Amino acid sequence: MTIHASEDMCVRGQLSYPRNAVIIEEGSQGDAVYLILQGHAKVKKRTSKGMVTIAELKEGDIFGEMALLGPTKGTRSASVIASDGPIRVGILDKERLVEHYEALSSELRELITFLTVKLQETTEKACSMFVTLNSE
Amino acid sequence: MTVRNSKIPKKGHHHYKEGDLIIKAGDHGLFIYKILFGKVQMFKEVDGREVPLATLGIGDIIGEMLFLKGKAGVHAASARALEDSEVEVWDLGPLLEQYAQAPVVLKYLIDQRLNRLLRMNEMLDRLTADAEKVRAGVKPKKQGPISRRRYYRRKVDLDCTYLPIRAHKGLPSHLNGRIKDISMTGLCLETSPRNASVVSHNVGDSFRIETVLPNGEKIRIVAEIIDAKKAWDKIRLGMLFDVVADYSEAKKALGFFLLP
Repeated sequence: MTIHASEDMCVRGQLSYPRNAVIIEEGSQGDAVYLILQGHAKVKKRTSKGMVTIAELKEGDIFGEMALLGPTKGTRSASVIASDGPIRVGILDKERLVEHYEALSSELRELITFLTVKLQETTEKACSMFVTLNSE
Repeated sequence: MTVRNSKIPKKGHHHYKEGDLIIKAGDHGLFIYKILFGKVQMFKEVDGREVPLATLGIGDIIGEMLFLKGKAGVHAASARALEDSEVEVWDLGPLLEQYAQAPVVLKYLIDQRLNRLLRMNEMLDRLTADAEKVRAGVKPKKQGPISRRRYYRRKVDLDCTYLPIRAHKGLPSHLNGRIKDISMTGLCLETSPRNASVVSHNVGDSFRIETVLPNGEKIRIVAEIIDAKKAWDKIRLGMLFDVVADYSEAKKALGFFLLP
Protein backbone atom coordinates (compact mmCIF):
# COMPACT_ATOMS: atom_id res chain seq x y z
CA MET A 1 0.00 0.00 0.00
CA THR A 2 1.34 3.45 -0.85
CA ILE A 3 1.83 5.97 1.95
CA HIS A 4 -0.90 8.26 0.72
CA ALA A 5 -3.45 5.44 0.88
CA SER A 6 -2.52 4.45 4.42
CA GLU A 7 -4.43 5.31 7.62
CA ASP A 8 -1.48 7.48 8.70
CA MET A 9 -2.73 10.13 6.29
CA CYS A 10 -5.68 11.00 8.59
CA VAL A 11 -8.29 11.24 5.83
CA ARG A 12 -11.61 12.06 7.50
CA GLY A 13 -13.86 12.50 4.49
CA GLN A 14 -14.00 12.34 0.72
CA LEU A 15 -15.36 14.60 -2.00
CA SER A 16 -15.74 14.17 -5.75
CA TYR A 17 -15.66 16.89 -8.39
CA PRO A 18 -16.41 16.78 -12.12
CA ARG A 19 -13.88 17.85 -14.73
CA ASN A 20 -13.02 21.58 -14.66
CA ALA A 21 -14.61 22.06 -11.23
CA VAL A 22 -12.93 24.67 -9.08
CA ILE A 23 -11.95 22.97 -5.83
CA ILE A 24 -10.13 25.96 -4.38
CA GLU A 25 -10.41 29.53 -5.62
CA GLU A 26 -7.50 31.94 -5.29
CA GLY A 27 -8.21 34.68 -2.76
CA SER A 28 -11.10 32.83 -1.12
CA GLN A 29 -11.11 31.79 2.51
CA GLY A 30 -10.75 28.16 3.52
CA ASP A 31 -8.73 25.92 5.73
CA ALA A 32 -9.28 22.40 4.41
CA VAL A 33 -6.24 20.41 3.35
CA TYR A 34 -6.84 17.93 0.52
CA LEU A 35 -5.20 14.75 -0.70
CA ILE A 36 -5.85 13.57 -4.27
CA LEU A 37 -7.14 10.00 -4.09
CA GLN A 38 -7.94 9.72 -7.78
CA GLY A 39 -7.56 12.00 -10.77
CA HIS A 40 -5.60 15.10 -11.68
CA ALA A 41 -5.77 18.81 -10.93
CA LYS A 42 -4.07 21.99 -11.98
CA VAL A 43 -2.82 24.75 -9.73
CA LYS A 44 -3.42 28.12 -11.36
CA LYS A 45 -2.59 31.68 -10.47
CA ARG A 46 -4.15 34.87 -11.74
CA THR A 47 -1.79 37.15 -13.66
CA SER A 48 -2.27 40.30 -15.72
CA LYS A 49 -2.31 38.05 -18.82
CA GLY A 50 -4.83 35.56 -17.50
CA MET A 51 -4.47 32.34 -15.57
CA VAL A 52 -1.10 30.61 -15.54
CA THR A 53 -0.75 26.95 -14.59
CA ILE A 54 2.01 26.67 -12.03
CA ALA A 55 1.72 22.99 -11.18
CA GLU A 56 -0.06 19.83 -12.17
CA LEU A 57 -1.16 17.52 -9.39
CA LYS A 58 -1.78 13.81 -9.46
CA GLU A 59 -2.91 11.01 -7.16
CA GLY A 60 -1.10 11.24 -3.83
CA ASP A 61 -0.46 14.99 -4.06
CA ILE A 62 -1.60 17.28 -1.27
CA PHE A 63 -2.96 20.79 -1.77
CA GLY A 64 -4.44 23.52 0.38
CA GLU A 65 -1.70 23.00 2.95
CA MET A 66 -0.82 26.71 2.96
CA ALA A 67 -3.81 26.99 5.28
CA LEU A 68 -1.71 25.10 7.76
CA LEU A 69 1.85 26.15 6.99
CA GLY A 70 1.59 29.57 5.42
CA PRO A 71 1.69 32.96 7.11
CA THR A 72 -1.60 34.03 5.47
CA LYS A 73 -3.64 31.34 7.14
CA GLY A 74 -7.06 30.91 5.62
CA THR A 75 -6.56 32.86 2.37
CA ARG A 76 -6.02 30.64 -0.64
CA SER A 77 -2.91 31.63 -2.62
CA ALA A 78 -3.86 29.83 -5.86
CA SER A 79 -6.77 28.09 -7.52
CA VAL A 80 -6.96 24.31 -7.88
CA ILE A 81 -9.07 22.98 -10.73
CA ALA A 82 -9.98 19.39 -11.60
CA SER A 83 -8.43 18.48 -14.94
CA ASP A 84 -8.53 15.49 -17.32
CA GLY A 85 -11.79 14.17 -15.88
CA PRO A 86 -13.47 13.83 -12.49
CA ILE A 87 -11.41 13.86 -9.33
CA ARG A 88 -11.80 12.31 -5.88
CA VAL A 89 -10.11 13.99 -2.97
CA GLY A 90 -9.69 13.14 0.69
CA ILE A 91 -10.02 15.83 3.34
CA LEU A 92 -7.29 15.57 5.92
CA ASP A 93 -8.03 15.84 9.61
CA LYS A 94 -6.97 19.43 10.22
CA GLU A 95 -7.07 19.17 14.02
CA ARG A 96 -4.61 16.28 14.01
CA LEU A 97 -2.39 18.02 11.48
CA VAL A 98 -2.31 21.16 13.63
CA GLU A 99 -1.60 19.06 16.70
CA HIS A 100 1.31 17.34 14.94
CA TYR A 101 2.60 20.64 13.60
CA GLU A 102 2.40 22.44 16.93
CA ALA A 103 4.39 19.62 18.49
CA LEU A 104 7.43 20.45 16.35
CA SER A 105 10.07 22.65 17.89
CA SER A 106 9.63 26.38 17.35
CA GLU A 107 12.83 26.40 15.25
CA LEU A 108 11.51 23.75 12.89
CA ARG A 109 8.18 25.56 12.58
CA GLU A 110 9.93 28.85 11.87
CA LEU A 111 12.07 27.16 9.25
CA ILE A 112 9.06 25.56 7.56
CA THR A 113 7.13 28.84 7.60
CA PHE A 114 10.14 30.63 6.11
CA LEU A 115 10.42 28.02 3.33
CA THR A 116 6.67 28.30 2.69
CA VAL A 117 6.91 32.09 2.33
CA LYS A 118 9.90 31.58 0.05
CA LEU A 119 7.85 29.19 -2.11
CA GLN A 120 5.10 31.81 -2.39
CA GLU A 121 7.58 34.52 -3.33
CA THR A 122 9.37 32.29 -5.85
CA THR A 123 6.03 31.35 -7.40
CA GLU A 124 4.97 35.01 -7.67
CA LYS A 125 8.33 35.92 -9.20
CA ALA A 126 8.21 33.01 -11.69
CA CYS A 127 4.64 33.96 -12.72
CA SER A 128 5.52 37.60 -13.29
CA MET A 129 8.69 36.67 -15.21
CA PHE A 130 6.69 34.20 -17.30
CA VAL A 131 4.12 36.89 -18.13
CA THR A 132 6.86 39.38 -19.01
CA LEU A 133 8.62 36.89 -21.28
CA ASN A 134 5.37 36.05 -23.04
CA SER A 135 4.41 39.63 -23.67
CA GLU A 136 7.77 40.53 -25.24
CA MET B 1 -0.47 10.04 19.61
CA THR B 2 1.61 13.14 19.05
CA VAL B 3 4.92 13.24 20.86
CA ARG B 4 5.99 16.76 21.74
CA ASN B 5 9.48 17.33 20.46
CA SER B 6 12.13 18.92 22.60
CA LYS B 7 13.57 22.30 21.71
CA ILE B 8 16.50 22.30 19.34
CA PRO B 9 19.65 23.05 21.34
CA LYS B 10 20.98 26.41 20.21
CA LYS B 11 24.62 26.88 19.42
CA GLY B 12 24.48 30.49 20.53
CA HIS B 13 24.38 33.94 18.99
CA HIS B 14 26.88 35.44 16.61
CA HIS B 15 27.43 39.13 16.09
CA TYR B 16 28.64 40.49 12.74
CA LYS B 17 29.84 43.96 11.87
CA GLU B 18 28.84 45.69 8.64
CA GLY B 19 30.67 44.02 5.75
CA ASP B 20 31.45 40.77 7.62
CA LEU B 21 30.94 37.55 5.71
CA ILE B 22 28.49 35.20 7.49
CA ILE B 23 28.62 32.31 5.03
CA LYS B 24 30.60 31.84 1.86
CA ALA B 25 29.38 29.96 -1.21
CA GLY B 26 31.27 26.70 -1.56
CA ASP B 27 31.99 26.39 2.18
CA HIS B 28 30.68 23.36 4.00
CA GLY B 29 27.64 24.27 6.08
CA LEU B 30 26.46 22.58 9.29
CA PHE B 31 24.36 25.41 10.70
CA ILE B 32 21.30 27.47 9.89
CA TYR B 33 21.08 31.08 11.01
CA LYS B 34 18.11 33.18 12.02
CA ILE B 35 18.57 36.94 11.85
CA LEU B 36 17.75 38.54 15.20
CA PHE B 37 18.57 42.06 14.08
CA GLY B 38 20.32 43.77 11.19
CA LYS B 39 20.28 43.26 7.44
CA VAL B 40 22.03 40.61 5.40
CA GLN B 41 22.78 40.54 1.69
CA MET B 42 22.67 37.18 -0.09
CA PHE B 43 24.80 37.09 -3.22
CA LYS B 44 26.56 34.88 -5.74
CA GLU B 45 29.87 35.51 -7.41
CA VAL B 46 29.71 35.41 -11.20
CA ASP B 47 32.92 36.06 -13.12
CA GLY B 48 34.45 37.69 -10.05
CA ARG B 49 31.47 40.02 -9.72
CA GLU B 50 29.02 39.93 -6.79
CA VAL B 51 25.47 39.40 -8.00
CA PRO B 52 22.93 40.27 -5.26
CA LEU B 53 20.17 37.70 -4.78
CA ALA B 54 18.15 39.02 -1.85
CA THR B 55 18.29 41.25 1.17
CA LEU B 56 17.20 39.56 4.36
CA GLY B 57 16.08 41.10 7.64
CA ILE B 58 14.82 40.27 11.09
CA GLY B 59 13.27 36.81 11.33
CA ASP B 60 14.66 35.63 7.99
CA ILE B 61 16.73 32.49 7.79
CA ILE B 62 20.10 31.86 6.14
CA GLY B 63 21.39 28.45 5.02
CA GLU B 64 17.88 26.98 4.74
CA MET B 65 18.81 25.22 1.51
CA LEU B 66 20.79 22.71 3.58
CA PHE B 67 17.54 21.69 5.28
CA LEU B 68 15.81 21.59 1.92
CA LYS B 69 18.43 19.18 0.63
CA GLY B 70 18.16 17.18 3.82
CA LYS B 71 21.85 17.05 4.65
CA ALA B 72 24.91 19.09 5.44
CA GLY B 73 26.62 20.30 2.31
CA VAL B 74 28.14 23.29 0.61
CA HIS B 75 26.41 26.66 0.61
CA ALA B 76 25.18 27.71 -2.82
CA ALA B 77 25.31 31.45 -2.02
CA SER B 78 27.22 33.81 0.26
CA ALA B 79 25.79 36.09 2.95
CA ARG B 80 27.27 39.37 4.14
CA ALA B 81 26.11 41.68 6.92
CA LEU B 82 24.88 44.95 5.39
CA GLU B 83 24.86 46.52 8.83
CA ASP B 84 25.69 45.36 12.35
CA SER B 85 23.69 42.16 12.68
CA GLU B 86 23.08 39.38 15.13
CA VAL B 87 22.08 35.84 14.26
CA GLU B 88 20.92 32.84 16.24
CA VAL B 89 22.72 29.67 15.23
CA TRP B 90 20.81 26.40 14.87
CA ASP B 91 22.48 23.04 14.48
CA LEU B 92 21.31 21.36 11.28
CA GLY B 93 21.71 17.79 12.64
CA PRO B 94 19.06 17.94 15.41
CA LEU B 95 16.68 19.82 13.09
CA LEU B 96 16.91 17.06 10.50
CA GLU B 97 16.62 14.38 13.18
CA GLN B 98 13.48 15.95 14.58
CA TYR B 99 12.01 16.29 11.12
CA ALA B 100 12.74 12.62 10.37
CA GLN B 101 10.72 11.66 13.46
CA ALA B 102 7.70 13.81 12.59
CA PRO B 103 4.39 11.97 12.01
CA VAL B 104 4.04 10.38 8.56
CA VAL B 105 1.25 12.69 7.36
CA LEU B 106 3.08 15.86 8.37
CA LYS B 107 6.36 14.76 6.81
CA TYR B 108 4.56 13.69 3.63
CA LEU B 109 2.85 17.08 3.40
CA ILE B 110 5.98 19.13 4.14
CA ASP B 111 8.16 17.01 1.82
CA GLN B 112 5.79 17.84 -1.04
CA ARG B 113 6.05 21.53 -0.21
CA LEU B 114 9.84 21.40 -0.10
CA ASN B 115 9.96 19.56 -3.42
CA ARG B 116 7.69 22.20 -4.95
CA LEU B 117 10.08 24.88 -3.74
CA LEU B 118 13.02 23.07 -5.32
CA ARG B 119 11.11 22.73 -8.61
CA MET B 120 10.02 26.37 -8.46
CA ASN B 121 13.62 27.46 -7.86
CA GLU B 122 14.70 25.49 -10.94
CA MET B 123 11.89 27.07 -12.97
CA LEU B 124 12.88 30.54 -11.82
CA ASP B 125 16.50 29.84 -12.80
CA ARG B 126 15.35 28.78 -16.28
CA LEU B 127 13.08 31.82 -16.68
CA THR B 128 15.89 34.11 -15.49
CA ALA B 129 18.21 32.56 -18.09
CA ASP B 130 15.48 33.09 -20.75
CA ALA B 131 15.08 36.72 -19.66
CA GLU B 132 18.85 37.18 -19.99
CA LYS B 133 18.67 35.75 -23.51
CA VAL B 134 15.85 38.13 -24.40
CA ARG B 135 17.89 41.05 -23.10
CA ALA B 136 20.83 39.80 -25.20
CA GLY B 137 18.59 39.62 -28.29
CA VAL B 138 18.42 35.80 -28.47
CA LYS B 139 15.02 34.19 -28.69
CA PRO B 140 14.79 31.74 -25.78
CA LYS B 141 13.76 28.19 -26.40
CA LYS B 142 10.23 27.77 -25.11
CA GLN B 143 10.06 25.32 -22.28
CA GLY B 144 9.22 24.96 -18.62
CA PRO B 145 6.73 23.32 -16.33
CA ILE B 146 4.35 26.26 -16.57
CA SER B 147 1.81 25.19 -19.15
CA ARG B 148 2.00 27.46 -22.17
CA ARG B 149 -0.79 25.62 -23.88
CA ARG B 150 -3.24 28.32 -23.01
CA TYR B 151 -5.02 28.26 -26.35
CA TYR B 152 -8.04 26.25 -27.35
CA ARG B 153 -7.31 22.53 -27.44
CA ARG B 154 -9.24 20.06 -29.56
CA LYS B 155 -9.68 16.47 -28.49
CA VAL B 156 -8.55 14.14 -31.27
CA ASP B 157 -7.43 10.55 -31.63
CA LEU B 158 -4.85 10.57 -34.39
CA ASP B 159 -2.22 8.03 -35.37
CA CYS B 160 1.18 9.60 -35.58
CA THR B 161 4.78 8.65 -36.11
CA TYR B 162 7.63 10.32 -34.33
CA LEU B 163 11.37 10.25 -33.84
CA PRO B 164 13.81 12.10 -31.60
CA ILE B 165 15.33 15.08 -33.36
CA ARG B 166 18.78 13.92 -32.34
CA ALA B 167 19.58 10.82 -34.39
CA HIS B 168 21.71 8.11 -32.81
CA LYS B 169 22.73 4.55 -33.53
CA GLY B 170 20.15 1.82 -33.14
CA LEU B 171 17.23 4.16 -33.65
CA PRO B 172 14.14 2.54 -35.27
CA SER B 173 12.81 4.05 -38.51
CA HIS B 174 9.95 5.55 -36.52
CA LEU B 175 7.91 5.16 -33.33
CA ASN B 176 4.12 5.03 -33.25
CA GLY B 177 1.90 7.02 -30.95
CA ARG B 178 -1.51 8.64 -30.75
CA ILE B 179 -2.23 12.33 -30.46
CA LYS B 180 -5.03 12.79 -27.93
CA ASP B 181 -5.45 16.55 -28.16
CA ILE B 182 -3.90 19.37 -30.09
CA SER B 183 -3.76 23.16 -29.96
CA MET B 184 -1.86 25.92 -31.73
CA THR B 185 0.95 25.61 -29.23
CA GLY B 186 1.23 21.95 -28.33
CA LEU B 187 -0.27 18.52 -28.16
CA CYS B 188 -0.77 15.51 -25.92
CA LEU B 189 0.86 12.37 -27.24
CA GLU B 190 0.07 8.93 -25.87
CA THR B 191 2.58 6.21 -26.48
CA SER B 192 3.62 2.77 -25.31
CA PRO B 193 6.19 2.27 -22.52
CA ARG B 194 7.94 -0.06 -25.02
CA ASN B 195 8.95 3.02 -27.00
CA ALA B 196 10.46 4.54 -23.88
CA SER B 197 12.72 1.51 -23.53
CA VAL B 198 14.17 2.30 -26.98
CA VAL B 199 14.30 6.09 -26.84
CA SER B 200 14.36 8.52 -23.89
CA HIS B 201 10.93 10.12 -23.27
CA ASN B 202 11.81 12.60 -20.57
CA VAL B 203 10.97 16.26 -20.00
CA GLY B 204 13.19 18.31 -22.29
CA ASP B 205 13.43 15.66 -25.06
CA SER B 206 12.32 16.86 -28.51
CA PHE B 207 10.67 14.85 -31.25
CA ARG B 208 9.77 15.35 -34.89
CA ILE B 209 6.14 14.28 -35.18
CA GLU B 210 4.11 13.49 -38.31
CA THR B 211 0.38 13.05 -38.49
CA VAL B 212 -2.59 13.55 -40.76
CA LEU B 213 -5.31 15.83 -39.40
CA PRO B 214 -8.95 14.71 -39.78
CA ASN B 215 -9.31 17.28 -42.60
CA GLY B 216 -6.65 15.36 -44.59
CA GLU B 217 -3.80 17.84 -44.03
CA LYS B 218 -0.49 16.20 -43.29
CA ILE B 219 1.63 18.05 -40.75
CA ARG B 220 5.21 17.69 -39.54
CA ILE B 221 6.13 19.41 -36.36
CA VAL B 222 8.88 19.52 -33.75
CA ALA B 223 7.74 19.44 -30.15
CA GLU B 224 9.38 19.20 -26.77
CA ILE B 225 8.16 17.24 -23.77
CA ILE B 226 7.16 19.55 -20.93
CA ASP B 227 5.28 16.97 -18.91
CA ALA B 228 5.45 13.15 -18.83
CA LYS B 229 2.96 10.98 -17.00
CA LYS B 230 4.17 7.40 -17.02
CA ALA B 231 1.91 4.46 -16.18
CA TRP B 232 2.59 0.76 -16.64
CA ASP B 233 0.50 0.54 -19.81
CA LYS B 234 0.94 3.98 -21.41
CA ILE B 235 2.85 7.22 -21.33
CA ARG B 236 1.11 10.57 -21.76
CA LEU B 237 3.34 13.36 -22.93
CA GLY B 238 2.42 17.03 -22.73
CA MET B 239 4.37 18.62 -25.57
CA LEU B 240 5.07 22.15 -26.65
CA PHE B 241 5.78 23.06 -30.27
CA ASP B 242 9.27 24.33 -30.95
CA VAL B 243 8.62 27.71 -32.49
CA VAL B 244 12.27 27.96 -33.48
CA ALA B 245 11.79 25.07 -35.90
CA ASP B 246 10.07 26.04 -39.15
CA TYR B 247 6.46 25.06 -38.70
CA SER B 248 4.67 27.82 -40.55
CA GLU B 249 2.94 25.34 -42.94
CA ALA B 250 1.88 23.13 -40.08
CA LYS B 251 0.66 26.17 -38.17
CA LYS B 252 -1.49 27.23 -41.11
CA ALA B 253 -3.01 23.74 -41.44
CA LEU B 254 -3.57 23.57 -37.69
CA GLY B 255 -5.17 27.01 -37.67
CA PHE B 256 -7.76 25.89 -40.23
CA PHE B 257 -8.39 22.65 -38.40
CA LEU B 258 -8.87 24.40 -35.06
CA LEU B 259 -11.24 27.02 -36.40
CA PRO B 260 -14.45 26.79 -34.34
